[in-house]
Amino acid sequence: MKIKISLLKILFRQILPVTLIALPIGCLYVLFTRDVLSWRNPWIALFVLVHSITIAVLSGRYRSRAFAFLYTRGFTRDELWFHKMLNTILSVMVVWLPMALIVWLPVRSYVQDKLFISPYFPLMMIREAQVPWFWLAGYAILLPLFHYVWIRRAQPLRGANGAVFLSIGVVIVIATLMSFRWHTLWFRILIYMLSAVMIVTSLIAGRILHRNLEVQ
Amino acid sequence: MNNCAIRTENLSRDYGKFRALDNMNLNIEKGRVVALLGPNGAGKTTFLRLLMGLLEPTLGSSFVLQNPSRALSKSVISKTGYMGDMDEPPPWSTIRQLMDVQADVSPGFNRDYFIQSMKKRELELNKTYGSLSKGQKKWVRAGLVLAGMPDVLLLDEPAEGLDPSARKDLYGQIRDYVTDNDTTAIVATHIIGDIERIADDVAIINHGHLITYADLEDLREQVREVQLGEIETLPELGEEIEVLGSKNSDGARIIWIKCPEDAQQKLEQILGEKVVMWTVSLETFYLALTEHNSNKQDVGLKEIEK
Repeated sequence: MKIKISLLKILFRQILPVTLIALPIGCLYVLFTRDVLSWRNPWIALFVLVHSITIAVLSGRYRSRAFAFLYTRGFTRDELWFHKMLNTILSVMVVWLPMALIVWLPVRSYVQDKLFISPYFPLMMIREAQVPWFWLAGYAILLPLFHYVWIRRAQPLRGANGAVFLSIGVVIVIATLMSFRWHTLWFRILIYMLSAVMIVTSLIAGRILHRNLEVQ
Repeated sequence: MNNCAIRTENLSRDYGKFRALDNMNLNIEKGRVVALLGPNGAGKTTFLRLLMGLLEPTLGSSFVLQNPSRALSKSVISKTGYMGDMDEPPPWSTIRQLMDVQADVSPGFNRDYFIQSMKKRELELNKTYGSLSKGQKKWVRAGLVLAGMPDVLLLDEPAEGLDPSARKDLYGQIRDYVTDNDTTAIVATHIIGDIERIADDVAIINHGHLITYADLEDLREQVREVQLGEIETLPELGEEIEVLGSKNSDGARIIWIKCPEDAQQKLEQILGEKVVMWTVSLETFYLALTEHNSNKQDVGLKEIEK
């Protein structure tokens, strides 16, 4: 599907403020926090959660009226969905990539070593290198789910709140899993598989809802 | 059938238990401009949204340029200029961004036409949509629709809320476009005076029912308003004279009839007194059907299914 820059610009404008706010917060935290970063870091988990919720809420804020307008200009429902997802990815990348680069380049290691004379750095740099991928996984799990929930919640249908409870349940499960020690390989594989199934299901369900309900 | 730009078959739509549109059968030939009239809540917006595929019909189907509404191809959507009553561009988008978006999807988009149209109203392209007045918003949306050079226009209350001068300008622009481009158009409104100048046909709906679909000229020739004396009940007027509606006014009874040429003579014979009869405006006819005859379901002057 061809990317329409004009459409992307209009859609991105609604999540631009949250992207611009999230970017310095995320980068400054990653740069200056003295704790060794782990995928269990609750502050970054909270950051990813809030950022994801805000993206879903804001990009669905003018849902039906704006989408109906854009649809009647000549964009297909699939094009609108594709650009909405592209927009989400763009917002995540604008925030996540600089945060990851701070870890990988290694700006963080340098700042911690030289500025704070931390005993962990640069030794911990290698251990932290894989952590940004977990942040990205967090976005990948949460965003399709929240998009689905928000489209569902915005419709005057029975059971709309059920989707909200579902997402709360998923967040609680993720928070619980983060406190586990994942020693066994089968457990890790199971969680990865369940996450993949959830991402795909949320994406499909969100797209179906978008086609049938969001553009009307 | 191939000459049909818009076709609906038993088109119905429910909102819960409420039937907003009931069994609508309509064939609109290419190049016709149809005034879709009806009071608020009559089903006009639902009808246009069903045509655009924004709503799924509960029953029946509709076609635009031979394409089913729920699966309009990209090319058909870009040939269809829709100006809805319930959809709006995002308020933060600038007029220029909206122009770019429209140009991206409408291969024949005429930028010069759009820019000239904005200049007429002294609208700068870098203004955001949200900062415009209601009239300016309507003007921008109409400009976008018309500059896309559509073959079919579906306009839902295009001039609602505009002052008389802006309304005149807007309808003037629409009239020029449809005349120059031989466009098929449906203009839904309840402001009749404006549409009378550009419409070829008139479709009147009320409570979700299509009451009339008629050629405007035929309607002007055939429908008469008749002032009768003080009568309690209307006598049987025979098969040739069809009563469309009636009301009491200052003790006298006024009726609207669809009649043959010699109706006056026949009426005077039946009633045994002299009657005064005159032609009616579209507005009077519309009121006769929607206000003074709410029980009447179908008084079609033209075969609804051609």
